[in-house]
Amino acid sequence: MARLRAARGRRAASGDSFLLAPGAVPLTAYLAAVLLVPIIVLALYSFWTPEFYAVSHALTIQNYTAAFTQRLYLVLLVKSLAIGLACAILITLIGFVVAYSISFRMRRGGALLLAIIMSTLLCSYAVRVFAWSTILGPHGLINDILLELHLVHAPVTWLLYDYFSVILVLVYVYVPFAILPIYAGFQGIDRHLLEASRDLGATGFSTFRKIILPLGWPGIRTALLFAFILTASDYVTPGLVGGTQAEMLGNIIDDQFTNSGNYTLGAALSFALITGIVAVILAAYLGGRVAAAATRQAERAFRNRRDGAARVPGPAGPLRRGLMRVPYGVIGTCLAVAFLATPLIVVIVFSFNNSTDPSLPWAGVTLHWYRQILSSASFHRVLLTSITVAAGAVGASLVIGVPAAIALARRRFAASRVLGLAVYAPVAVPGVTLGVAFLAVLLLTKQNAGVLPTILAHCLLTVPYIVIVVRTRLLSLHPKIAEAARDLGAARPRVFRTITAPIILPAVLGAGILAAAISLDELTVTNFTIGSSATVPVWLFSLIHTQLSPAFNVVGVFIWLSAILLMSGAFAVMSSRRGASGRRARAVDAVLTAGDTATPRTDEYVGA
Amino acid sequence: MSARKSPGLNPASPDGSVQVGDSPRPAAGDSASETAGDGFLVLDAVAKEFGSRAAVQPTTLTFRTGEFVTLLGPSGCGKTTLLRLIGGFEHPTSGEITFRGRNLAGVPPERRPFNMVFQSYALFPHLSVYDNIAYGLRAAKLPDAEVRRRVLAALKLVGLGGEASAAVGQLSGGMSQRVALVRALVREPDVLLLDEPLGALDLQLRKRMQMELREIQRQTGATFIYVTHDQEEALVMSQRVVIMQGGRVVQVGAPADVYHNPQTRFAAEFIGTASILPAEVVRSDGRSAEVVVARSVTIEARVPPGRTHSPGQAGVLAVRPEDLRIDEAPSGRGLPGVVVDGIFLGESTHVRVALDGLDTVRVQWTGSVSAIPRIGQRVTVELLPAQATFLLED
Repeated sequence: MARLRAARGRRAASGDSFLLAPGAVPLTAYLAAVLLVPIIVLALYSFWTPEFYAVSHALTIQNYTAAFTQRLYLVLLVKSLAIGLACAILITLIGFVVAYSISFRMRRGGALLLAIIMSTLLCSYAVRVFAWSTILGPHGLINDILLELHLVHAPVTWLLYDYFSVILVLVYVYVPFAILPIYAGFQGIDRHLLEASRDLGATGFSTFRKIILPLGWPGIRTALLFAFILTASDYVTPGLVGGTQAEMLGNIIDDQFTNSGNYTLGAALSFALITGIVAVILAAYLGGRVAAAATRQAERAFRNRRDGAARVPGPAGPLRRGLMRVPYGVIGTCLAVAFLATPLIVVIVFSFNNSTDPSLPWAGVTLHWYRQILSSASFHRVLLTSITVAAGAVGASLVIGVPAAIALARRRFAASRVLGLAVYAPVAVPGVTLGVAFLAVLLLTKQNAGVLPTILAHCLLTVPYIVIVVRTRLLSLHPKIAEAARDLGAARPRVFRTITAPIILPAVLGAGILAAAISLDELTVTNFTIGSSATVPVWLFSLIHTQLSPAFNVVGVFIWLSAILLMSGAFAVMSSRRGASGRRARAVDAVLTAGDTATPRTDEYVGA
Repeated sequence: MSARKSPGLNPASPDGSVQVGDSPRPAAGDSASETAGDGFLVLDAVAKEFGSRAAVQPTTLTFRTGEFVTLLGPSGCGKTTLLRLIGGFEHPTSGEITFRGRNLAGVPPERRPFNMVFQSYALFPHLSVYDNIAYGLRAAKLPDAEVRRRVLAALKLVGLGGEASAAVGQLSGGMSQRVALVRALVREPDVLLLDEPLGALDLQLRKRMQMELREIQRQTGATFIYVTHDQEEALVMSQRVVIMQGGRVVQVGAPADVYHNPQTRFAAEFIGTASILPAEVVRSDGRSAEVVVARSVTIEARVPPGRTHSPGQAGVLAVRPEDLRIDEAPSGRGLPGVVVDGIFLGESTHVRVALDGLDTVRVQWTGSVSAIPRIGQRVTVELLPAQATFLLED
């Protein structure tokens, strides 16, 4: 509210005629009701007094005292932040290498690699993580190879259910999400800048350091930030591959709300986690500035010592030349793609393995697991729930997101800057916090968890993507295009129908599919909001906790294939629309050529 | 919408009387504060502020039927804002715009009988060339056959008959420009607003399009209001030039008038080539003045109409290259200096002379090209009487 008031102050200064464009009203109301209110409720909970599976509204700070003094919580907080930091750095490094190679080192192959990486995301998150237990387990692929090669005599046990597997899998899960912003940043760099840099005498490396790195930095920073927030607060991955050894604070928070029933402590721990995350980010930011200043100073000192004399590199020796010619980026990218694709391949292959154990040895091909899953009533039930939730979330987020995107792209209104940032807030809030905040609201209002709250929560996570995709499309257009239509006599509704709608339709369709994919695979928040019902990921998550079955692989393959079919369907629809307009144009052409003789005089138009 | 019931669909001059060339030239003293003439399109004290920044100061202007007017000024002078106010894309902070006596306040762009050619065109990327041009006719709910006839005629007019089904993304700059032009013209607007429409074209194409635009303006008889920062373009194309600076109209007049009778130093320097010399009034009678240039040469100078000066008042003399002569044999009656450069311009040649203790001036060379003074040669620059204009500093 304070921010809105500040925005109103700015409006007076900048002369904007209104605070909020009408199109942005639903989004604003929604963000306030579904993001702000739950966070406030969660904050209230953190100051209330716990009773067994209940809460008394007496204010206390005992939850925070517990969160910040008990050794268990402190250790887990520090561990979670450390794991998050390590993962964020690894994720960003890998993401950077891949994005850099795809952007600058590969031509056609780059797009294909990106498509492969992104397609792995379409396979269920829970199943992909599950595949790592097939790879890392005591009878997994790695141990099998090690034993075959007689490198070890007994299976290596620390591969799975320890911090190693947690970090490995967290990196695996979030690398694709880091590639995207970095790649987008690199795509935004004008290629002429690179040529100009070389033309002005910079070597390949200094072009990289002085042009690519600074211009790509916003994307890299985004990747770092999100990777850190998402991994430090994760509870699903440690839950699946961490065993009892490698818990993170997210698991404890989850436990307070789902098993222990100590909601107030869970709320306080949530805020402790957020505090820790913010503290690390601030420290990194300040540290980065200090380091940058120190580097500049050192560089200046170095230059002064050289007395401005240009350093002319001598001819490199044959070894050095050979080493310089190795395409490290491309090799690294291929390794990264292998790393990202292996679990998917394992899922597909082991869905056919004729064994009750989802690991080696290979016991021949069977379709038994497909039959089992496809005829399973509980799978049908959760699939239906998933589809219901996804349909609701996509519909609602389009209704909220598209008008907001148009408003944000078209008009400058007083709150547009605040809203433009707030719309991305749901993605930046740790999933576990969002989940327990939702649950806190449901508990407070004595509402049942289930499909409807889940739709509301998913909508929060999908709206940002809708807004960003549709808004980007609109911003890529000539800014005066709507004015041109009005100038030609079209009133606002007609402008929307004939110009805006057809132009954003492909973007809306694409964003809708993206939203569906996100909703169908959402687990972190859904786990708290779906209640006694279950979506496919939640169902898998609870099953994987209790048993390991190759049938899970089948679910992954099923979801993967459905998603690919859906996407190609949408692509086909879009290109056929283009085809249709092409056909129409050709028809017009034919009419025109035929009408050439029929049209009496062309000069009657000018009236001369 | 009394001005036009079926938008833009009546031929502009049904009787064939196209007002070109003989449209009344404004008197030399036609100033920014003119009053409504025939009342076709009138801006009455129109001002526009963005926040605290005044983009257009209160401006009063009258546009006549069928004239080609250019709004000329450097970037940021408010010319585009003025155009957008007329088009209805911005609303005046104060003042009013009337068209044929009717106040246009609150009339949205789609209901004004004006059309705009946008800078960098704003073609609809998802529509073909044909559909782009047909857009405005369909918005006017014309029958399909009529739409087709008009679009076809329009395409032929600008030589794009074969491009009807092309995607606009495939067009060259010149083609896009033509499509943008006819897209606005097919609606046969009473006023065509053009926002630097030729800015993105190469010089050859631009010169050709300038002639084409003049031709089209004559044929259609519509009023063209043309925004540009290119003074040469303004002089070549328009019947009247409106010079703007800092959100204010500084001078309005026919091209020859604004060229020969600049009213401010800014106008003198912005249009054509002018050299500026310090001068002081000796005697003034309101129509001309005797001034002493650089404390050495006394000469008769023009003054902006209606402006009186008192003896001893200091100002500048704005001199065109053709108002100066080079005297190779130094005489006592001119300003001494050294030749620094010779510039061949095709139809004429300018010599740049660094005057002793003064700025460098440009002088038109009237002799043969082979006889141009050498660089470094000492010469005397003579001023022709009653040609240059005496102006107070802005």
